[in-house]
Amino acid sequence: MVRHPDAAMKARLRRYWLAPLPAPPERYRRGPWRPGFFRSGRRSTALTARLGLWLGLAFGICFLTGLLSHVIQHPPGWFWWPSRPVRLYQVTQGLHVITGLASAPLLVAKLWSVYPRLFAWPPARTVAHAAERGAVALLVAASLFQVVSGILNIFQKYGLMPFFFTAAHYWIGWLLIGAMLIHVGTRPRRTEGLSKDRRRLLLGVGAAAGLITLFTAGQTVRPLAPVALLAPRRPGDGPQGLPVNKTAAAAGVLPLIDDPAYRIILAGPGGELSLDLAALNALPQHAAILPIACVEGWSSTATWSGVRLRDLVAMAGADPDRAVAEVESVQAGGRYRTSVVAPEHVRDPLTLIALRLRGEVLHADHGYPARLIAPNRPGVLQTKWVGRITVREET
Amino acid sequence: MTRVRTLLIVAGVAGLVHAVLGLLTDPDIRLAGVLIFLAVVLVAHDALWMPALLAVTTLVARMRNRKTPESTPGPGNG
Repeated sequence: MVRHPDAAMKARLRRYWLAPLPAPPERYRRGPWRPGFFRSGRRSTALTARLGLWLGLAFGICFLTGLLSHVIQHPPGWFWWPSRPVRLYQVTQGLHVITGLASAPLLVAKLWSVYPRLFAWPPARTVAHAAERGAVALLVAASLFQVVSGILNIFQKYGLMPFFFTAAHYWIGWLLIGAMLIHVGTRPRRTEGLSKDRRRLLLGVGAAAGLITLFTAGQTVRPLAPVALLAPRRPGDGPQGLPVNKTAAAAGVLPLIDDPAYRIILAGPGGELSLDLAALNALPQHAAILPIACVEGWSSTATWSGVRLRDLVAMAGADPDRAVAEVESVQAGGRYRTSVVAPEHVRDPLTLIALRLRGEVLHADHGYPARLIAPNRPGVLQTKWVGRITVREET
Repeated sequence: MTRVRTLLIVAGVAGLVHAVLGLLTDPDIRLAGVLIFLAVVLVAHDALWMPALLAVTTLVARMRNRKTPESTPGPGNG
């Protein structure tokens, strides 16, 4: 009988994949590698499976809300994001950060429950076993990377991260979700029940996740602000009762915004206009109650007033119902000095070039003399210290 | 292997490939920094954090058992 060459190749690969690897000498089996070193009776595969389910759900929510935030900030051609409901981004990003923080105790407990497996003997029985362990190491490293870098980001400890957080958090998010799906797809199904002891442990982990949520959710859920003990920012913090991420001093714009020669250049199909603060104040003024919803999870709602962007777009000679506006800051550099306002937001009457906050002239840290504020957009896209608006009509 | 498991594995591999390509081609990625951070959090967790956590919980359990001698034999390492 002649075997098909493909079948022969498959058989050879299978043999290689499952061939036993030589075990290290037994004398090296010391410390945690010794049999019976880990004696806690609380670990079980059923407990691990339940912790894994919770953690998987938390990571799934974080991945989807994070992906949404990413495409809002870097919209591909097919993507469309509405201006209403005005609080939608506030909810999705608040959920992203709250769930990410709540996943920390779940991750600690999950890794505790499988920690003895790190010291399996022999360390690699077969090539397949070695590959499986490598995949688990990747999953664990990516999980820790996401939780730790996310926490460092909301506390603004950028110096501890040797990379640009936003890009790395996004790509490692893909790595994590990919490794997690493979892990779920290759795990045996567990259906055993839990002992009373393990149920109590699971309850404790759930309580820790709940307490972290309770003590941080106040950064975006106003009624919980008084107990937001772990939140880096609360809704009422900062000048004019609103938190600030980047101050005017840090952005290097103080001399520019205090200059009497300050103007907004409004460019469009109808030509170019130069508007000083008096000219902006002389235009019809409107108010909008809108949240600043930061990518770091905090948000705060306030009454903003100023000129409708759609009115400025009309002044620039474009149709406000199908125009795109590129809003630029007077900042010399920085990743967020420019933002593009899509037609959905340009035409929305709530989108303002704000001149006042809670009835007072904007504080320098909130974007004096003029800033963009639009409904349902991340805070990093609400350009401060506006110096130029370029309008073009969508074809 | 069920169809769902196959689907999960295929989707997972696609996610991994997308991540690796992104990490290699995104100009905003400092690959060395990302790899160092991945290694540091993994080693810090496995070699520092978890042994410390187990040492503390074992100590607490032993102290508790010493106070209540009628209880069951004390646990060993974490």
